[in-house]
Amino acid sequence: MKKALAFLFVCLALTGMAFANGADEKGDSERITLNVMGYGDNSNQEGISWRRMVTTFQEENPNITIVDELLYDQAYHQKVTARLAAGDAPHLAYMGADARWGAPWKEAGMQIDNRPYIDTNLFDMNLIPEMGPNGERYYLPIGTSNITTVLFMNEPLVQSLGFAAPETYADLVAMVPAAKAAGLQVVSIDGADGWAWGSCLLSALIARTSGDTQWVSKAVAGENAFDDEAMVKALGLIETMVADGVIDSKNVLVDYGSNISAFSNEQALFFVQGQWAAGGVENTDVRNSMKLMAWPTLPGQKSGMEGSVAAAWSVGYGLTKRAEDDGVQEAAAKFLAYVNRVEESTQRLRDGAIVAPVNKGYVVPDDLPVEVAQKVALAQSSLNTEVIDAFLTGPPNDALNAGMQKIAAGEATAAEVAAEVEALARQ
Amino acid sequence: MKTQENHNFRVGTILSYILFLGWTLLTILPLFWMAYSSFKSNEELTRDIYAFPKDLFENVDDEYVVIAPSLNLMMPKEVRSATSEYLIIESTSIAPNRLLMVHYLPKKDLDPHVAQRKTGDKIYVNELPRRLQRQVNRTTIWFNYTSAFRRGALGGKFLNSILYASVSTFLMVFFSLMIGYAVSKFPFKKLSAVVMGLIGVGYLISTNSVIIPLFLMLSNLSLTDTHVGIILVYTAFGIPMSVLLASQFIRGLPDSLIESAEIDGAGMFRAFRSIIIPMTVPVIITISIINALGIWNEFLLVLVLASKEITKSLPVGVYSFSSLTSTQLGWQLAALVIATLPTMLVYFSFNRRITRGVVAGAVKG
Repeated sequence: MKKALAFLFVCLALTGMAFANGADEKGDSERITLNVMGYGDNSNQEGISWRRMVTTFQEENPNITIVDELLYDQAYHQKVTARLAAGDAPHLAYMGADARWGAPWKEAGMQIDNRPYIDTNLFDMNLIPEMGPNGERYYLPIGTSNITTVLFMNEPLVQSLGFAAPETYADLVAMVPAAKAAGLQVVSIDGADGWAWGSCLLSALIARTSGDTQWVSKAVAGENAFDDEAMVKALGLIETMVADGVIDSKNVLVDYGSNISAFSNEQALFFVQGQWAAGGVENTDVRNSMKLMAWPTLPGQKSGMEGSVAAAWSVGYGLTKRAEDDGVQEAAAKFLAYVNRVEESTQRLRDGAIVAPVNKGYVVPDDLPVEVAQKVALAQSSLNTEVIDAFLTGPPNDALNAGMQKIAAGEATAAEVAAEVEALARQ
Repeated sequence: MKTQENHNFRVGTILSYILFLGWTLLTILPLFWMAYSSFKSNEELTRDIYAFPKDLFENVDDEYVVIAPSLNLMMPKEVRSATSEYLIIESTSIAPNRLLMVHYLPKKDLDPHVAQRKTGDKIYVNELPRRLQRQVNRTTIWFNYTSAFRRGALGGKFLNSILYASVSTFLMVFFSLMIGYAVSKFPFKKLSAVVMGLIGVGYLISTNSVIIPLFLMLSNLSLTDTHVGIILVYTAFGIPMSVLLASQFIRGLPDSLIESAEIDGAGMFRAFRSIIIPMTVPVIITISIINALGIWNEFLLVLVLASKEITKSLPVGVYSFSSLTSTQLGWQLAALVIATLPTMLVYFSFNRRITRGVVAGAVKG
């Protein structure tokens, strides 16, 4: 028995050594190995599409081998930081150019101008924002702007209580007694996720109270202060919403999935999230009848800001500085065009991942799902403002997100949170 | 007086039973929930998270719709080369419109009136020939498991987990026993104290605090993304505690045994092989269990150090189903069961031996 056990261990040890080198990247001289970092997981639509694209691209291009790593959310961000710190950047990666998605690449000096690799016959450069001082495009966005502050309304449920789509905040407050009596929430938010308060709520509020679509970037640059009246008012609106019962203070315990589930299971009249959450509403009856809208007119709102929504540049895939070799650059550009081809853009549009593609001359299909058609309509009709965490990062942003949770829980005031963020932002 | 003592004893016994029963339920119920929920569709899980599975089992009357080949439909090769010879159907109740619960039915095996259905037409499982009904039935019941295994490539990750846990544990046991033997029984007191001091410092280092420097170091050695690199890291992180356990245990062994072996002509290595190893089986079991379980469940190191699918282990595979926007909770639960089952099987198979080993290791150590 002992001998057998020892033999087994030795075999395993030898197997381990034999396995030692993992996948061998060396191939024959004609094969090109492309190292790519994708974004998604194995059970969300992005990940499922990614796996398919990698497989079919390699089948169509047998001389290119893709070594990919597919990660999602925090795991992706942690891994990007680690790989860049170790000088192990991929040739092509999912990235952005703002403070959240672009900072690690910029700090590592891995951003390069992707214009030479973006085929202008296929993609409309006018739809791709300038990301650098000389008009650089550091990646190819998967879509146009990404609305983060959508108010999703279960219209039949609202109508069943005797109300219509709200035009003002007072209309929302008027729904509170009837909703409470029916055991429903008025507006649900995934308050356990700090980022949701910033990206999906405050980003809309600050533009409304300041009347400035670029208030956030100006505050980060020092032209505005985070404890200015506009910010205190915007944070104060969260206090008001909780006090009026529009948002339940218990929402600070609700996570992303539970927030969507509550709406999907008809336990809330509205929920707050980004446009990407539309496809996540599982109940098809609710999904087909829901309305996507901007926040109604809010107390203290400046004129000209009616129907505004916060929107950020879409993320996408871009070549990095590591793609130095001509062959690798060519293969990477080919794959870049492949993951953004018209068919993929249409798929993303149908999956609800984007609002509109950046493909040149793209014709929107007329058989889009209801919620996708609404998204497109919302994007076309609304005024776009800045998303907070596209500009503000690190401790001030963390303090702001945590501060809003404290405000909702009644543990801090708007002025206190604003002062703390301002102090951290100027350090 | 005696009656009072008996009463106290009874109360104590009842309380301890309640406590243990509560603890047992607290441990077993989540596992039980996970096991039966892994056979529920995502729609069932969203509807009622505690209900027993039904949709995937009761599928004889399930409704399907005929669909056309489309971009996100990953068709098997034989279907791709002859799509017109197959009827592609998608469930209208399990993951509808997501192209996940899809069957490819050879038209030649279907009744002509069924084979002629067009895109958008409804089709029911009970309309299919018996053989295809059984096939659909089987595929539906195991939907979560086959999807988790295939989409998460859990087979390879499963083998990697076994490899990392077994080889690292073997190396840890081997080296920690050697170090433990040297610091406990060799006549180098000061050197032993220095070695144990270093080992003690190693015990204090947390994985999180060194993960980036570790990644840099392995990168310089070209060991990132390799099985050897990951095994070495696991071994290094496991050695401090293993050495502490082993050295304490070996210190308790009588010196006379080693002296007798030396008198009989045994050298250092012979004494290690024939005296130390057989006598330290309890602590070997203790070290092995603690480390193997730790490595089996370890996530962060392998997430950072492994980039290619070929080097990732099961926890990373399970995590790949658990994002905020994940649409299939059932897959995640199936992946969790796949990851949990081996440890449970090992425990139930070697329950007595493990308990004996841990108890002996704890007492002697």
